[in-house]
Amino acid sequence: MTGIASAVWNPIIAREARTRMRSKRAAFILFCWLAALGVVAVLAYRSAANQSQSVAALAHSGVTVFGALVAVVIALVMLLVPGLVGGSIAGERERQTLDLLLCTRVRPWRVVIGKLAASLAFMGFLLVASLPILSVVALLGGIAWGDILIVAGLGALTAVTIGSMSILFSAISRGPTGAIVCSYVAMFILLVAPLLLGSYLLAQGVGSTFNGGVASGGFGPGGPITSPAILPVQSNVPPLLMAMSPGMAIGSEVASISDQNCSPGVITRFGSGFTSISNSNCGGVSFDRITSGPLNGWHLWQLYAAFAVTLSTLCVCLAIVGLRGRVPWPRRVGRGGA
Amino acid sequence: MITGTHLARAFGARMALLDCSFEIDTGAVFGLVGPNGAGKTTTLRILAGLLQPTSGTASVDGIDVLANPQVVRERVGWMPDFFGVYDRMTAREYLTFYASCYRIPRARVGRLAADLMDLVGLPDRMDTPVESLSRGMKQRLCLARALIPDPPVLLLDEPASGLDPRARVELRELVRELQSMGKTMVISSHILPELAEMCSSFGFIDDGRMVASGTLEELTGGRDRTTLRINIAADVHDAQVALEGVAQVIAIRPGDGWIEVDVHGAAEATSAVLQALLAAGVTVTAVNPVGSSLEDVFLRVTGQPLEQSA
Repeated sequence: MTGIASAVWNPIIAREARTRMRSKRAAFILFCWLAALGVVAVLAYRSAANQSQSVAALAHSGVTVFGALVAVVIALVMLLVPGLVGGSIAGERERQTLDLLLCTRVRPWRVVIGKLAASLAFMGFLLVASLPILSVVALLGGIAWGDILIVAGLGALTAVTIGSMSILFSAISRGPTGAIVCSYVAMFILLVAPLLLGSYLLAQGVGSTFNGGVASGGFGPGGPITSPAILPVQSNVPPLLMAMSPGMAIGSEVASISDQNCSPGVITRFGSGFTSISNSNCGGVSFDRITSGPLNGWHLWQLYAAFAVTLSTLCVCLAIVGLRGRVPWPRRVGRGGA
Repeated sequence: MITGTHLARAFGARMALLDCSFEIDTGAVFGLVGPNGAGKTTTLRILAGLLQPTSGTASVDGIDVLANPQVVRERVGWMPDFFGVYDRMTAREYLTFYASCYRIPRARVGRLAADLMDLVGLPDRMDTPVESLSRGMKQRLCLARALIPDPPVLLLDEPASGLDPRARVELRELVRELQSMGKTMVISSHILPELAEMCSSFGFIDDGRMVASGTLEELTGGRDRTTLRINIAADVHDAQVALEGVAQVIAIRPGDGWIEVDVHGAAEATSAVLQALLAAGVTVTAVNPVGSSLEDVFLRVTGQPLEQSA
């Protein structure tokens, strides 16, 4: 093995991948994952097809199916990642193999990265396995590849963020149960707390942009939508808070894709005959962009991406520090372990 | 050489180790004797570079454990008392995984794994799932894992606990083989007869303190005292009278159908005692050594037998 390959090679990833795929649990998760996606795809398509009154409207079903699949993928990611990652290092500790690992030349950062990467690689495997179902969206049309990539990237980033929080709890917890519970709680807080807090501030009139019960601010990725519902946002605090929630960030992006189909821009994809689609299918206006201050013009997903990268980096660094503290190291007096 | 100087370690308010000093010569097999909770594992974990002492110093092969714990960890083979194995792996994969953790070149790993499995007596278990191995086999596999980086020092924490008699005999033979390879070993146990057969020197640890250390001869002060329990099918008084004239006999304690005799020496004394009894016409049905010299030393330095300490 060359020097570079040796530096990059992480034996933990290889071992985890191999042993995980040999378990019945992996096959069960794969089955449930594909079954859930398949059922949701069929139901979403049938629902969209039943509601469509014309061929032109049927073309919009791709967006509906896409939205439904994204929702179920994100939900499954949130359900699986804390369980997969939360028990990884804590499980080694409970199994009393962590000391044996730390006795070798494997450094704590390599253990943390290896455990995280191995668990996320399994999630990647699930996503790859679900490509045939996800490709239905491409067959139905209505979604640009760029949008799919953004949403896929946000989904992956969400998995990394939740995984990073989980690996932190795994590194500092005594046992896997506590680590997994803490991971789920943290994930729930990440998902819900920003939305609740942002909504509360909006309700209190901070940055309030409500107009007749329809949230406005009305901005699609292509620029402001000329809608009478648009009012200037008075404060960036609520959208900044809301952007910290993966649900809001990904939801707003999916909604903006739906809005694109309502805007004239979608015509270029389907031809002039589909002009009537947009006005018939799209009602509310998405709330997906900051309109003032230093972050003016930033999409919520961009803010979320920046927040997620920062949070993930912080969690991984803390996990490494937590694991380093388990055994003595030359440059730092460790806490040791009993 | 392995040294520990006034090692102490606290876990919260509890002192697991109070004052532990020792010197272990290169190539020696050092038995760390003490009851459960005496501080044996804590001492070994400090020597393995896995635990920072609260105070005191330690070195392995001249390397300061506190200053260079990572270097020490790479020069020490550590086999803990309780350890887990990874499920859904064969023994070959288990050793291959740890070999890659030690950055052994891939070209060498296959041969190394085979050699180690051969050394620990499991050549035919290479492709057996690790979780299906018996406790004794797992112990030997763990020893093979500890030997992957070819460390000059091995730290074995209660290696024979939970093993059946046959596995213990095999472990003893393995320790002898490793000693012949020049490995310095520290073996902790609270089962003295087991240590007595494997170790060349001993350290007695009690309540976190190293109360005595040295070779058996040093520890006994040159005295080699054995206690024999002799079952007899005759009047115990006759046996007592017959043994009073035997030079090696130190003390006699009569019981119901048996007597316990403290003697100087082991083999010669036993022979002399038996000859005296037979000469007096006393029918002997069984002769068994009770305890060992190590136990006597432990009793002397701690004031209580090992079983009570535990």
